[in-house]
Amino acid sequence: MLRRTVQWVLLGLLILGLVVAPHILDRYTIFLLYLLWLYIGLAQGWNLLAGYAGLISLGVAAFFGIGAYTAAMTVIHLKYHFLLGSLLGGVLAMAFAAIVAVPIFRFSGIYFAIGTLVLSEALRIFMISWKFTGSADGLALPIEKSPSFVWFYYLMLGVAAGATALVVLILRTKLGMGLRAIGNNEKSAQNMGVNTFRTKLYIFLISAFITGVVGGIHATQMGSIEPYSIFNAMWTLSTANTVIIGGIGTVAGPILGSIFVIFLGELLADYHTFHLAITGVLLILIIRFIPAGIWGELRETRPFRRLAGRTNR
Amino acid sequence: MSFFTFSGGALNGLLLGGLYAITALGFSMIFGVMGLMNVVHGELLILGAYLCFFISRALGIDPFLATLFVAIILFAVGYLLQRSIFNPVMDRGVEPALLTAFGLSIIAQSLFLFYWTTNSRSINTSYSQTGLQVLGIHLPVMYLISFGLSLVLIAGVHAFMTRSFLGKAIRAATQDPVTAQVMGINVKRVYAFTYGLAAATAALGGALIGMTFSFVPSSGLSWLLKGFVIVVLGGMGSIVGTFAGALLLGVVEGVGGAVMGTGYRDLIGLVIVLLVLVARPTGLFGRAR
Repeated sequence: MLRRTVQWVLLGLLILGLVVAPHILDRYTIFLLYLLWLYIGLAQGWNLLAGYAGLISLGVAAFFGIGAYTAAMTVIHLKYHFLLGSLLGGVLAMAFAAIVAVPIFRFSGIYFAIGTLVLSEALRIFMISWKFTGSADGLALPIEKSPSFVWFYYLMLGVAAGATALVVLILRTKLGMGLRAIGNNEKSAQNMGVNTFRTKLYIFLISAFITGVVGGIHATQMGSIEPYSIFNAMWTLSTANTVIIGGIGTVAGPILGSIFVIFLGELLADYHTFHLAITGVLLILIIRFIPAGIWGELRETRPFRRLAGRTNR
Repeated sequence: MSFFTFSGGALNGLLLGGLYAITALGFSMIFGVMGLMNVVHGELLILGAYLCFFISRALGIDPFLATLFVAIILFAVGYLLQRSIFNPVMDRGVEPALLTAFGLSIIAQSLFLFYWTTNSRSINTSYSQTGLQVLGIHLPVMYLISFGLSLVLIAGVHAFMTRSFLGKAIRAATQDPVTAQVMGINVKRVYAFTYGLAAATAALGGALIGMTFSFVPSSGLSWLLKGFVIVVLGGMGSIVGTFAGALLLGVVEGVGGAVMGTGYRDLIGLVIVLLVLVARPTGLFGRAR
């Protein structure tokens, strides 16, 4: 009982801290926190696919980019509010996922990974040439429409928290049960009556939606977008990296991973050119030596098991 | 559209397919032998291009001669990569190795960027920019050279795989690693050798890319994706299939580029691969693995 109370108090303090934070911190720190929420959002979406459904996607940039462009286009041409635009971005990313799901699920395991990479690269090439979306120059959003920066902080915080809550929720439903069964052994899950195609499809759609919304909000926050940076494979790498470092297939992993990655980025801010290279080295080392990631290792230690009040998971 | 644009596009595409085959061969071999989706293959090609560029300039020799040195260097790089980085994670399934390759590709790209900047480079020789006129169709000399080399290389690798002892060991390790191991084949070493060989073919591929087109540190990805398209079209891991897939991609791109404009050229192959996979998940010429 006491443990429960402590947990709720800690959670309450955390929420209070996060709400008050942008009013006492300087602009740069707020921006870092905004990036942290962005990473958590992307990481939760990716982890849902890779960590639970066992589908390693190398196409985060595709769904992120669709979200970003949809938001920008609707704000510019249809004069929508950017919130609606970002939501539409998520919906369109989801629709795109639904269209490509049939061919792309032909690729199981490793084929799925490179199939998604092909998708995002095909989209990038297409967007560089497509005049309708400003081709290589990209789009600029009307400045007078964009709200203050603190606003974006709260919005992305909401997305990160929402994505995390969504993952927790999904894991408790029948969909989540099927998902874990697939993660353990797809064939036996199928034999036990799990509709593996539908389960993976739903997860793919949800993951695409989260990624698209994050892309939409980020596009409005930046104020201008162009295809090279928006459809950059860097988004995919950072996301995968974040999840693997934090602990793939856990809810806390993406959060811890994001904190770690942002912190590392600050540490290496003076060595900008080597930042990505070091991230790559780190990724390889983690895969080799601590495949369970930071949280995967931490939660096995005694203090964490006591705090969590259970021994499994 | 005139008949000449069409047939010119097709013929040029067919010849360019030879170059594609060389760039994709190593990717196809590694996938066929050890089931590793080697996403760092594009960076191996670009590394080959850079090394060829600098060695041929520094020594004042023809790029093709420099390629011999580069091939030896890349063989060593590939052998060591497989031994020290890939082999230890390959027992844990395909995903860790894939993500490791992904990490390597990012490391390679940032190092290229740091040492060799974003400047676009190409390897120039007296013949690399010239062409022949055949029946009113312009054929770049590099396309002809690449096509000839691809015939030699594909035949050579095919003969090596079917005739030599090491080639037979590689095929044994491909079919059944456990049994091959029991029969006294050092599978890990065979893997390392295969990776080295694949990297050596990437040296030639990179040199041809550099002489025919231009390259920047991030050029690897588009060549990797071409390799993937070719392997899907030709069937996973088949060497002759790789050649057929490469020629097919070349022709389709050549015709598509002539019809739709060059901006969408790269897109065509990627779209086709998705369509093929809907109809035939194992590739056009492939059988189920």
